[in-house]
Amino acid sequence: VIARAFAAAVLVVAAGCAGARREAARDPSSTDGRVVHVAAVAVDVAPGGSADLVVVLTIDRGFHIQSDAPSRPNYIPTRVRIDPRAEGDHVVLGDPRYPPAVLFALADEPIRTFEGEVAVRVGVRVEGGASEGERTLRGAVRYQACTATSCLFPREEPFTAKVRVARGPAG
Amino acid sequence: MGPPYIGDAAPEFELVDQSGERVRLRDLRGSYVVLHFGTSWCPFCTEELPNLQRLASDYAGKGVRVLLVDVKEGDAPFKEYSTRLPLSFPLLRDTSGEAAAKYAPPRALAAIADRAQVPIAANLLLDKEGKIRFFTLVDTARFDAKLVALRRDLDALLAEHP
Repeated sequence: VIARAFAAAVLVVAAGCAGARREAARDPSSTDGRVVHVAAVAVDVAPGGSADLVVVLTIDRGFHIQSDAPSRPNYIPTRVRIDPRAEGDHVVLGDPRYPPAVLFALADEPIRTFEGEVAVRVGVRVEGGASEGERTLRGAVRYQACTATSCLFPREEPFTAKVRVARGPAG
Repeated sequence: MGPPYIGDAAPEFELVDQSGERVRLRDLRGSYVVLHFGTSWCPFCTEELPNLQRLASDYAGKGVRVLLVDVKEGDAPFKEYSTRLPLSFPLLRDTSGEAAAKYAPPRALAAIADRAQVPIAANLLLDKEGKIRFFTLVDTARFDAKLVALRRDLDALLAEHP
């Protein structure tokens, strides 16, 4: 389903799957609560084509964040949002697709979290009438992080993503 | 005011509860006080909340008061937190986080810049003179959601000084 507003997706969580648990985490470096580092991979799409934009969240080692479908409604879900202004330029965004969650042991109730490096995919469709050129999309990731010994206040991390529209083999 | 370690006087605060009543910590001298810092979104606090209510009920007739300080939240989360369970004790609103920050031991979790975060999910027991007799920060490896250690120390205090 293609969303025309800020995208937010809830996918089936396969708890315990190693997909979200790649040990590429950074060691904690910041003291300001910024423990998730966000980067988006540029994507090439031909007019009339589609591709996935990949937003990579790199979570500091020792931290976990609530998954996109947390274990309780009062927990803060991880959300990747992209400003929909690009749609006016024949670029249409889909709902984010999140990887499976990782279980974090908490008392009697393991909770669904993300750790390490997490790739969130957002479908990008470029309409046939789009002009060639590069678009810069602006987005943000909202998350709430904890370690085994503390929880940090929720925060939002901005990012930009490039969509290059070009006729050719891509797309 | 000294650093908030066991044996020190509990840092003073005055906050408003879910009924709009002002609560001053010093006014509770003469009672044992169980003090918990939490937020609506904190998983550790969520696990502890029903056990905190259970403790409040079990010790209600023994001169024990329970206070929950909600740290740096807006109106909607505070309301949700205060109505999630029927609470028999005050849920205090620490909007700025100043009260919570006073309870961050200076060298605990030094990497965290916002000291109001440090005591989230912490449990303290204050004696009748307002001195800290029990203080635990979160430790997942020994997460005591059922407040077993706190109850043990509270029982010991009550046996010694009813």
